[in-house]
Amino acid sequence: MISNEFKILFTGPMGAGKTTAITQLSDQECVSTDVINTDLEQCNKEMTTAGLDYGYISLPDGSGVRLYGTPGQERFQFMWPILATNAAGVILLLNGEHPDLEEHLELYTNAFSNNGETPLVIGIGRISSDDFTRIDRVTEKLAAKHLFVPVISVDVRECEDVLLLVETLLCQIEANEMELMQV
Amino acid sequence: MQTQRLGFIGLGEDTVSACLSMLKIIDGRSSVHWSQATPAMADVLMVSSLQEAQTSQDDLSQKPCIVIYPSSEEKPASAFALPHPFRVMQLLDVLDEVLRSLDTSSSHAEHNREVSESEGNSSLPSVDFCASLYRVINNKGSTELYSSQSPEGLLLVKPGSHRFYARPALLHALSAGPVSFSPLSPSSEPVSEGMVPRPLFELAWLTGANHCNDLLPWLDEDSHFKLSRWPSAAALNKSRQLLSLCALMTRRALTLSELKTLSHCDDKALYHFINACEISGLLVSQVRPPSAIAPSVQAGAEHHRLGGMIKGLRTRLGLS
Repeated sequence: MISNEFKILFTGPMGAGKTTAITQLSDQECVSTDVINTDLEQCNKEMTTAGLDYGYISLPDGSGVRLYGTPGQERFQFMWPILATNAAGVILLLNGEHPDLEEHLELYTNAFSNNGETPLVIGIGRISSDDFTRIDRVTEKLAAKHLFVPVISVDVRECEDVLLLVETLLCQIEANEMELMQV
Repeated sequence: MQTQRLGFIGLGEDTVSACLSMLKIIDGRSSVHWSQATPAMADVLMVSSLQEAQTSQDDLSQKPCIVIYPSSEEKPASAFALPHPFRVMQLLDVLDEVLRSLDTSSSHAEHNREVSESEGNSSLPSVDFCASLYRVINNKGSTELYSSQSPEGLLLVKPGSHRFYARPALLHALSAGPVSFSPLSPSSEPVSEGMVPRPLFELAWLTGANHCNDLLPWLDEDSHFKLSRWPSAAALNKSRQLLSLCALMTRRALTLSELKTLSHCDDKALYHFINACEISGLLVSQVRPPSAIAPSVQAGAEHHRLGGMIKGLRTRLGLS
């Protein structure tokens, strides 16, 4: 990793809120490669990201944090390893209402967790406030795969929620670094 | 108090040492005192699953036998079995089961009767609310509904749906400070109108908060603590210290002093966190012999290569 580059990757299926989350954090207008969504069955929205989303947070010392978002459609999977290269951590966003939630969880954790090596935080949106079991079920499912990652109910339209995802990821990255130092 | 002797066959030194440490912890919480003896002199045997067949063929076969089997393997067809590694409460449970089968003394039989009356099928000797909540949460599904009385009203717990029910006055009292609850017991009381459903982790969290001056009595301060999974983010209340504890403890088992050093938590916050995680069934405590202790965490380990970048990002986002 280049010393003054720090990269956070946002991933997840179409409509999970990656572009919205990056927009919440980025200093400059988020660079999006949006095209008209032709896969309305998968997600009913007008535009979708085809290549990547890109945002940037400049830091006081002149360095910066690069925020990348993967394209949501699975046919653009070839972009995933390219965007994941050198990422300090990954924020996976999922749609709690989607019928394929568990399949998405499996697909994306397999692709991005690097067997638990990569710091990862999962944000699940659109979970009803009286659903007390959904998050637990996802966390238990991940633990059964030896993936001990935080799963948080979020609304990425709320900046506070996106900041919580980032703070949780930073704690994961720190713990990872400390473990590497001990080794 | 009556003494029962435990003999070990075919178990590694570290397992025996860990078990003996746990016996010290549960001393006073079990209805008998447990001590170590040679297999020939022992009342109860603890046997490695690899040695089980041999033991059943010799003179020791008449003694109750707890088979220790690797947690990666299927539970053996033995009356008493413990997966390895095991936890204090698991050991306590199986020893209590053995005691019940032995039915060694009238006092023990009397004790069982009392526990049975107060907790149905539960075998926990302690009548402490924390312990009963721990058991209810971690034995989900055995009974559908449990209840507990407090001066502020009735508490109902439905472990299967991860919920508890209470009236707003009780919820308010719970948030404000310690509430005295009777131990949870199986109940058929209906959830009455006006009772509000809340997530069960919240009850575990609030109960843990009422025990923030020290660890729960069955936990050993010298243990290494690890999390089996992340707790609910809602319970962590966006606290960086708690998020940090979770991130550290899902990676490796650490002592209390290591956790304090790395997370910058004070004693109260740390005890609260550990106790709440234990009640929620997320804590794995490992009593290790000195030879198995990993190198201790170095002071200043937080000054890692990404430290400056992370600090800058936190400042920039207003997370400092």
